[in-house]
Amino acid sequence: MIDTLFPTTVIGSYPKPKWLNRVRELNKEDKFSDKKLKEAEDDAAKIIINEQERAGLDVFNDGEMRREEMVEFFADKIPGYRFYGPVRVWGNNYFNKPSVVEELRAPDPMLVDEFEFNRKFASKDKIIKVPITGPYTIAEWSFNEVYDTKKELIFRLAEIINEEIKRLEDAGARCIQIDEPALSTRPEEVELVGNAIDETVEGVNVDKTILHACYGKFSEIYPEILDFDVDQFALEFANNNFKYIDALKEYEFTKELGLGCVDVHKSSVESVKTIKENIRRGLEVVNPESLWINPDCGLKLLPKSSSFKKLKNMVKAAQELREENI
Amino acid sequence: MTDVKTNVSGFFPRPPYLREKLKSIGGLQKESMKEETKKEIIDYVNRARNEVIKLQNKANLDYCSEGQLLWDDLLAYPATKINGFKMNGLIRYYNTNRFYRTPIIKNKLKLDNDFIIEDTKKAQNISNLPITTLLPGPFTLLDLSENKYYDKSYDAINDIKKILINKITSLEDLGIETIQIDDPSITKNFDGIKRVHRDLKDKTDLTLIINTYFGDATPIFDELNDIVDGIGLDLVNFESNWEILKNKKTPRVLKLGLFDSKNTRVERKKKVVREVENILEFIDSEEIIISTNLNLDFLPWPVMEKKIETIGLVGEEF
Ligand SMILES: [Zn+2]
Repeated sequence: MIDTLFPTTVIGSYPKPKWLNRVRELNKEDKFSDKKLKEAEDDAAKIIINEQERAGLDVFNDGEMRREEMVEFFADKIPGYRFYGPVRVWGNNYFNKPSVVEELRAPDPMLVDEFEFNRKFASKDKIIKVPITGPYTIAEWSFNEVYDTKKELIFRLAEIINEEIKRLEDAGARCIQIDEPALSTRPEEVELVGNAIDETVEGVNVDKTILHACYGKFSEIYPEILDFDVDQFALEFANNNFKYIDALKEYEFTKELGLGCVDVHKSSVESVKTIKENIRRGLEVVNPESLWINPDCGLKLLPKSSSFKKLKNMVKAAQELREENI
Repeated sequence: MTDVKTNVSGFFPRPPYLREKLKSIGGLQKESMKEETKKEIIDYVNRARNEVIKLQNKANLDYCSEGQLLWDDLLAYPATKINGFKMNGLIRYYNTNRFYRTPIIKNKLKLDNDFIIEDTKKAQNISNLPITTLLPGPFTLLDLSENKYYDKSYDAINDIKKILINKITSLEDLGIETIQIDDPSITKNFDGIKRVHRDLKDKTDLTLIINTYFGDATPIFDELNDIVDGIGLDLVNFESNWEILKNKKTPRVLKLGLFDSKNTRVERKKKVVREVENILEFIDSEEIIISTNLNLDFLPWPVMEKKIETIGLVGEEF
């Protein structure tokens, strides 16, 4: 799919321009039409695509300019979901937790427009990564008023997401990333998640399927995750100081590894030297051909300038290592 | 004859205006808050407290919760008022998708600022219903904190106990008759349950209800039942708690968690009425309280309203 060593990529989200957030607020207050919001999203997407190209990434997207929250975005589009209001996540932080109030029905295409737009405005030699929230995480972060078990809900969502991925494939998408941040929070359910992921990628023939997980005690879900039917795992490492890298070495890592080598929770920018050292830690787990380079997670909570600098340094680190390796 | 009463577990979701206000000042636990800002927050909290107390009065519940609108979680609010705790990073709250800040015990725990008392007084002034107050349980407070000071957890729990006794005594002076002690960690069956809860009970005449959730109460039920006035059980998530009701002698006051705070589906009145009728046949408590299984802040505001209304309607059937 990509012939360079150490392809560089993002997980998904990028800080939004302040004006986009403002336009969205005004749209919610009915002071700005949907058309104007769409225009603002288009503009923001173009800017972020351009910014990530300038950072030198090989694989990227629009920084999820059209998405506010990773569960809310999809639940809002799937018929059968309803939002009653925000619910506390911690302290004074609330999240619009959706409720399944009817059996879920097939949604209209959710991401195809977004993909086609990004494809059109990114250079042809670049690859667009499409992040999509996985069935387990959507189910885990929903109220379930309808299905008898959480498992039933998860598998219904897996069908829906599978359908969407196939639409994306038909539209020309080559790289799909399933986001399952909830995966490592309940290690006892790793088998259930695996079955759901297999269902999610059933019959999918894109070049690359990636599973992203973060906040994880990866040692507790390893090596079980190697059975998941995906090509790559993009995981968080920098934030916890590569705490789980040794655990991954205990068994042969039979997939590609997307190595989280810059921290998305600290705005201070890692030096090229530090990132190179981080990447070398990834090489303790997989061969150079199986290593992709990415930040730990989405960048959206960082200040804009440090996001850009982090990506630039990450690209430079990969570049220098390529030259040293070949 | 068993009296049938109603209430909720407290801990209300914050209404939007209070959330926005707190967001604009960057959180509650700021040390260097201006007096002016403090006053402003108090006004917003008063308004929200009024609102949640009105809801409970309107639904004709038998007891009214103060609301705990200032509490970020079960631990943060008390821990920031007790000397010896320092707040640390976020950790998953039991088996939920919620997080709480871990209190670290860095020094001998001593009561520092007042908490709960002023809020309770305000609630009493605006409610026609008797107020139940909420306190964090000693085992939960210790279990979810990180102890970096005490050599023996025995000493830590003793100091926590002293603080709670101080609070219970002050609340009794205010005329409070019932205190709900949320002690979810107690179901992990720690040593000393009997001793600690007996000591709390011995110092007061008011009714202490030890509220359990996030765990099966079976292993600790008998031990607890010997000494306390009241126990709360989650009857939604723990089938085994129904067995307790059927097979064991039940306490004087029994709080029945029949309404689920963790699902937006609103319970059918008739179904709950049948459940209560059924329970009345095999228990010997003086009083049962039809209630939610746990904190209301797991629910969005409109669903919380609907559930309170339904609890009131169920209560009217008895
Ligand atoms: Zn992530």
